[in-house]
Amino acid sequence: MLYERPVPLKGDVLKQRIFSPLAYVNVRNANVVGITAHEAPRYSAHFPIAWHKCDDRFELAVVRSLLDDGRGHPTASQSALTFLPALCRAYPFMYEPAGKAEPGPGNIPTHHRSNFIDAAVADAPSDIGSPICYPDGRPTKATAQRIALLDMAAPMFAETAEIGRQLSELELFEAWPLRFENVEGHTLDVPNLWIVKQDAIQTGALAPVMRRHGIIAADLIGLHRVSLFRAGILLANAKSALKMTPASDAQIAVMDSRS
Amino acid sequence: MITYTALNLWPAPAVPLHPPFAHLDAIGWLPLGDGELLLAAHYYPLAVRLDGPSPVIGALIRRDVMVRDLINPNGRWSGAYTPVALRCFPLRLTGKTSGDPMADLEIARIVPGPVKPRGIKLKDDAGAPSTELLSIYKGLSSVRQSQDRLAAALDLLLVADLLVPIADHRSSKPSAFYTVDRQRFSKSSNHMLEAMVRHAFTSIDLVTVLTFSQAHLRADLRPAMAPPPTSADAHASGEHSYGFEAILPWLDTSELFPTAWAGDPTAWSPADVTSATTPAPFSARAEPLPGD
Repeated sequence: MLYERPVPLKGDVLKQRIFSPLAYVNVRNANVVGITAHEAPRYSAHFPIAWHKCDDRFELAVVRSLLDDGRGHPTASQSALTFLPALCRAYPFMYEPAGKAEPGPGNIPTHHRSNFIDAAVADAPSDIGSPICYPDGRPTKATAQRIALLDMAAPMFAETAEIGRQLSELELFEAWPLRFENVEGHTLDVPNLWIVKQDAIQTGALAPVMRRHGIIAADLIGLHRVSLFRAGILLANAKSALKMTPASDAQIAVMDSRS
Repeated sequence: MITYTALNLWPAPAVPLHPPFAHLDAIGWLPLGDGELLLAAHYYPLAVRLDGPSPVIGALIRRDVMVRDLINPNGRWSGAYTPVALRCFPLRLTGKTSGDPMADLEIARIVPGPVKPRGIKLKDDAGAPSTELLSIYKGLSSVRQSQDRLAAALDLLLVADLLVPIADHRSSKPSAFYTVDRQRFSKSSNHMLEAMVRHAFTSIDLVTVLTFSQAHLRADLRPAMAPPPTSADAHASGEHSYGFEAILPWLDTSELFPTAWAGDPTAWSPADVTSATTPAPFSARAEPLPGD
């Protein structure tokens, strides 16, 4: 989970300092992160892109690792801002507390965007950071850039959610069990992932999605399918990480059972 | 340029299966099965050939068109995924097939490389095609059947005028290889896309793998990309836009997974052709190549 303790962006919170997103363990370690359809071209060559089911919603997400303790990531993805999904790059700012955001256009009104911040401690700051606001109340450059990114992403997240909703309504999803038994003595499982049904590919079932969402959906579904083959790399990374540094049960939260 | 001889004219009872890695430039391009496309796009530039009776899609493996060498400095294979047709080299199918491996297969006439070839018997003790030969024949036939199935979807790309030649400015010869013009595709209307997938999503899959795999093509061979519109431009024009690209530039595919290119040195195995089933991305539904 990317967010730990969302708090409203007001009062004494505005006196906090913020740091590079990579200074926060949540950003470095999050193994399933929501993305927009517009980010799919960027990540499909590196990570599996699938839908993560949260309650009844299907959220497009990138799977960065099979482990959620910070291991098993490609090295560069934890050391370079350029490899971070937009939500991570905007961290610690966020739209709303996790789970309360409503999908769909208009449900994230402009004046509610970015009005929360995750009250997490930057455990690995690389510099002295930046205040959120200047003494006169104006946002600093670091704040303005991240909030601008969230503002830019908001309509894209809304459109992405609409595509997921339509696929769900048309019953074109099937579960994707990203589960591996006996990996260095562990069972790895990233649950609640869903992909577009193979049956939908071989029939005309996706035609209504093309009619409503056009090129964005065509690109997304195509890249989603290509990207799934990166799961093999994640498995190789996880194996390598587990072999090098055996983890305790507490560290490997994603492993829901032991083989 | 490699020349081929009909297998039934081969004088010996066995054929040498030379590892193909010394002949990649001469082979140049390989047909791919439909079950290979999504995986192969991660490692090779895919291209369509239009010089036959119907369009066919495959992978370019010539070093002079790729951004990455398929043979590492130690002389080891670094292609990661080895296409079925490459595993079957130096054998290939003739134009028309009859069901008889001896009549339908050809063998490349090549100069033996430094690696000792592995010989396979053509016939078993009863005089029937050997198990290994049948395995190769089955793999190549499966790729051929895939090509037949994909032809109709490739025709849709031609009808939509999405294919452009991969123009090599270093050569005066017209290109035999085509890829998708991403700019043209991005202007596709919703109705056009709906029509393309009315019977199957295959045509969009083909567009995806052809554009996705352009990252492996030498930069000057890729179709020109328009500069990404600004967010304001996109709103003004009403066009779909990857607005993020203005602030999140397209990634080079080589940086995150260097180990992905190290490949599996044991990946090439001529006897392993039938294992080249649809490389399912760790789905519970691993499906074999149609025809297997």
